[in-house]
Amino acid sequence: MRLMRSVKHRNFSFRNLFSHPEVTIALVTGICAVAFASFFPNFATGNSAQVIFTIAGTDAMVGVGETMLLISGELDLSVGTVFALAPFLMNTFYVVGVPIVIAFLMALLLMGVIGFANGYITAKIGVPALITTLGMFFLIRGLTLIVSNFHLITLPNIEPFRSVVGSGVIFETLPIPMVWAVGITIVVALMLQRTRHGLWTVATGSNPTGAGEVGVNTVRTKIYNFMLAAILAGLAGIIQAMRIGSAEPLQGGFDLTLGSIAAAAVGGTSLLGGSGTIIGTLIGSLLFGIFRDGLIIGGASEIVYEMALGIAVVLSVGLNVLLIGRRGRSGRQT
Amino acid sequence: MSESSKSDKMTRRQALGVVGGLVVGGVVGGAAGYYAGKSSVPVAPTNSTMTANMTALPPAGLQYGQLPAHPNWKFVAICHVTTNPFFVPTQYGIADADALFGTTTQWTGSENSLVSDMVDAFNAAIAAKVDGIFTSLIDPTAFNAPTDAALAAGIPVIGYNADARAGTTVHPACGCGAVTNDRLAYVGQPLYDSGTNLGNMIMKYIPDKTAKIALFIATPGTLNIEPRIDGASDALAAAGYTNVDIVGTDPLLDKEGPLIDAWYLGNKDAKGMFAVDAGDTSWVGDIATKEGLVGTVVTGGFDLLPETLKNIQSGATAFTIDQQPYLQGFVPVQQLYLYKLSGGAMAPCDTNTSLKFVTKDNVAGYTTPSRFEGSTPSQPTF
Repeated sequence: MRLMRSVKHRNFSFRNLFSHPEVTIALVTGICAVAFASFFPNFATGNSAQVIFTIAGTDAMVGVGETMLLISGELDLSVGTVFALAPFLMNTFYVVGVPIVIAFLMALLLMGVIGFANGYITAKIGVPALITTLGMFFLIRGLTLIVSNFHLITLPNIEPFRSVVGSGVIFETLPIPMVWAVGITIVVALMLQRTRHGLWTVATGSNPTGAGEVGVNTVRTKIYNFMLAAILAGLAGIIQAMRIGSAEPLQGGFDLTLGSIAAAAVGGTSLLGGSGTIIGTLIGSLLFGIFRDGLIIGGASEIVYEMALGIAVVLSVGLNVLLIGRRGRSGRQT
Repeated sequence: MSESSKSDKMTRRQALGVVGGLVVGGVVGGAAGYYAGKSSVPVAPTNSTMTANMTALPPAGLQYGQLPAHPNWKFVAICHVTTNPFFVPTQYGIADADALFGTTTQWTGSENSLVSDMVDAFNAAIAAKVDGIFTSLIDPTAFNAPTDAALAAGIPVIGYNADARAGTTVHPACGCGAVTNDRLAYVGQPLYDSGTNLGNMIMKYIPDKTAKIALFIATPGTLNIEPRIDGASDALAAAGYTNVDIVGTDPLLDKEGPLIDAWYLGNKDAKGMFAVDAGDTSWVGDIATKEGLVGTVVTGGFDLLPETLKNIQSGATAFTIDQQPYLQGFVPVQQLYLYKLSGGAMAPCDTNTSLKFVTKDNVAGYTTPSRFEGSTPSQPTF
């Protein structure tokens, strides 16, 4: 919305257009997609798009929560294991007789409690988020291994719950994880742009002392964002588990945590807090999905994907930093 | 490509032509004879035909092994631990089969046994319209949808290394769960049976039914190794062994050892430490050596990591079970190739890649550097 307004009030120019990090990453993503499609015709198909959206969907959900935290000046390393725990908890409730929808909500509620613990210990007690959430990462992993008894489990195949929450496809191309991701992105982006919590999140991340002095409850703001990150990670974990039909105790992990931070950074969110974009994170996740799908279709091995991903992260963020420098010189704010 | 590398490649292909002649000869002899315009009767390659293959280019329209020219079919191999050393010989097997049959196989999947990554790779391979897929089926249900989608798209699918079997339905023939996936065939070890064999071997070495015994597993619950530990623990339980600990370690090789060591330090009355995966098996021998347990604590397990073979030679490990990972790469490519070549008439078939024990008595045959065991990339010379 801010983008729409700002474009309206300014004379259109490419310089104005590129003052928004979303546009930069969207351009990079578009170029990558066109390049893959040019080299590999099977990339530009409905099946291929479905793979990209599936990969990007769950990553984007985790990334959106992480982005809100990064904007408020914190980060959460435990999302990777929260992601793995949630489907096990949902299944545990279900097997003792709780209806699946209630079990789903109870699991998310418990993820919120984990997020609250992260937020309270970090924002209220003052333990650095890096330490708090690193500890929580291992705590949750251990808990997941206990709950799962080290075993992969097959989840109940209850329709329409499974289709709505994980395995469905809309218009033969759009998988449910991406529908959830787009919906969450819109809601959280509006929250960031239009609500007091969004304003406080930016203020807390850019200048916590100043924000506190003008009445922003920085502690509560951070706690809410930790809770949001944990709930979204849990939701993504359940969606992924329902999609493939089983839950694994070692799912997610640091790969997912670092991937979500990378998606936020690539999308234009500052790791120093105070600025960021939810839509950029979604596009960043799409870029990763395009790379993974495109390289497999192109015949590259798993190792090449990781190298390509590393290069993409550095180049995308580098391009954004370069453009931010130019924006700075021309007196514009991101 | 330089001249020298060209000639190297020719030598390798010629050598592989011999292997190919032996492997494929009986099956495709008739077809080969037809295309060669010589004979329609299947004939096993003779010394003279093999010699001819090794010294001359194939006639126009034919490839080595007397097979017809064909498109460069593209296959995808999906693995649950793409960088694990166990699968080095598997990749050599794939490379050799590709060189022999004129196909290309892509190695992809997950580094950390993540089913979602494997399913995503599987779906991407379907989108790429590849000519065949073989995958380790480490989840009883997660691969069902992509397998069916691939088959519906005309892409043959073979399972290797781990088969999708239900955990609860007992199959009368093997004691394992019924097959839950529509894959055309499975190439690998019958996992539950191999676990039973491990249990029987443990009983031979440790007859005392009250002895404390550990069974280590890197990734509990995954279908490539869980059936083994189930088979072993079921066999021991059925025989009356009452003091068996099942211990989960870690999928990363460097973390497995310290965890095994930690278990031993808390259980110094142990009489046996066994494992059902390659990494843990190498570590149980290493820990026996480190803690001075050789001769007092029996160790053993699966697969042929160089460290495991060294431990068998030194006596730190009593035995290991060879599941021939080279064949788990070579055979799926061969079967997919024949499927494509025959237009689907040659259906892939289940292949047991053996249940072979390696002990101090026969380990010498494994310690010479061998491409087939993954200890060297070099081809054998004759």
